Amino acid sequence: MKLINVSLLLKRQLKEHYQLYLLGSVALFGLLSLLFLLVHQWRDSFAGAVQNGVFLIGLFLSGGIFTATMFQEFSVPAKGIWLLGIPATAAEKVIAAIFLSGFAFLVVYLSIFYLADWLFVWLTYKEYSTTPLNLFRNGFYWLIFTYFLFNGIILLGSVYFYKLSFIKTLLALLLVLISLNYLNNFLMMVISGIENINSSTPLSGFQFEHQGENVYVTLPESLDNLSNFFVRFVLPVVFWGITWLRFREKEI
Amino acid sequence: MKQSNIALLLLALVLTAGMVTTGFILKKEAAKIDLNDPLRNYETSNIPAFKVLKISGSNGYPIDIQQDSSTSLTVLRRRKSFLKTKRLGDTLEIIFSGANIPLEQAEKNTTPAGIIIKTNSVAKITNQNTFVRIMHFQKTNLDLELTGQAVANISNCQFPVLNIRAAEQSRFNFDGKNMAENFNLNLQNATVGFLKNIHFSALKHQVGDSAVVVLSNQTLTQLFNRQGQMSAQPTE
Repeated sequence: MKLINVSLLLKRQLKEHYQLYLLGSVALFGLLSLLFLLVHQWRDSFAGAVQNGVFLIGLFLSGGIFTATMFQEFSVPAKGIWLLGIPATAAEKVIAAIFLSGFAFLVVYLSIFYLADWLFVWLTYKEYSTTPLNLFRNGFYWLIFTYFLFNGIILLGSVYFYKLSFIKTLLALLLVLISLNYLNNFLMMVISGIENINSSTPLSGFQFEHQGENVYVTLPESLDNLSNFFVRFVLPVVFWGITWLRFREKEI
Repeated sequence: MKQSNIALLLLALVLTAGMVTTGFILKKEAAKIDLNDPLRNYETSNIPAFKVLKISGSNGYPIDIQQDSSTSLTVLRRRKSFLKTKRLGDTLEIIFSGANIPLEQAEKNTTPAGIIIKTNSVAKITNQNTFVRIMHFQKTNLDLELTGQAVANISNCQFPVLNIRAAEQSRFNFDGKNMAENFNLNLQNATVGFLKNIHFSALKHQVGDSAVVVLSNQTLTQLFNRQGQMSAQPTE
């Protein structure tokens, strides 16, 4: 793998799409401002950490759409062949896509978000003492690693499906999440022998009803940390790795 | 079969094995919970006695402070990671982070307590931005300091001396039957104090800026004794 090839791939992507990216950035700022306007207008219905909510909606929506465009050439066979024909290895192409849609996107997103957030704070500080979103408060920044996992899944979907890859990936993800939830609930019921489990999170914990109250069962702290490490750090790399495998198979 | 499909299959197997392993660990954890215990969703730890309690954080979950013979800290198991404690001499500092709810809703919060603190030695409580419920304090003096968007609810307490200093947007109220022999109030900025369900022999007050004191009929009657003398005096 040559870094110069990765850098050339990035330059090509930016040169070909910079107008779209600029327009997209303006649209993203507009979307975030609109969301802030909505939560401010109906602030009684949107109590709590509204800035965190707007941050996540914007990140996953725009990040998902942007990531899905990384290998959009595969949706047209002729363009797909052209993409495969670019003189760079599959690893270089996948790494360029991860860098652009994962890391570079995140930097741009944070800049645009804080611009919109600053506007929101400026307009509402006097009346509501609003302060800018602090990513480090309550460990909120850990959710950014969930974005990397989401990025890995969308990238994988874009090399698995030819047409409408983003929609198909989202539907597949939804199906997997629903199945995982039911499977995990079933497994927890069978293994623990507790029948009235009403909710569970895979690799984390479950809750069951007892005399009208939910009782929570969670992993011991050290194991919970291990589980979080797997989801936040290992899983994104695994999905990026499978994306590379799938891309390489397309070359054959 | 393609390598990518094999990798996806392996990932599915690892996830399933992980869920099964987690299931067995959680079974052991579930067995440790005493379902007859009213605090079954909480974890309790005994802590050394303290005189000053400094609380800050969010108002999403109420923090109960109760008088008891022993000193302990009980935390809602699922909020454990949001709790940080520091010890500085006879001061216990508690930072209980989380999402905030609007000030008007915080007072009506029916969420179960996030933390329950039991103490027999506290003399001063400072609260910044959280919602504390002070309960069942008997025959002990208390100095209460509220800042930011702090909310304090005092219920069924008897204080020889109760000092409340409130600043910024903080507010406090009383529930049940409360008694303060000497009640000293200092309200500044945009604070609100609801004087209802509180009996006192003497009230000294200092109310500045746009602070508000809301009086119930019963409290208003207390302020004017039968001889028509004021039992409340502004402090210098």
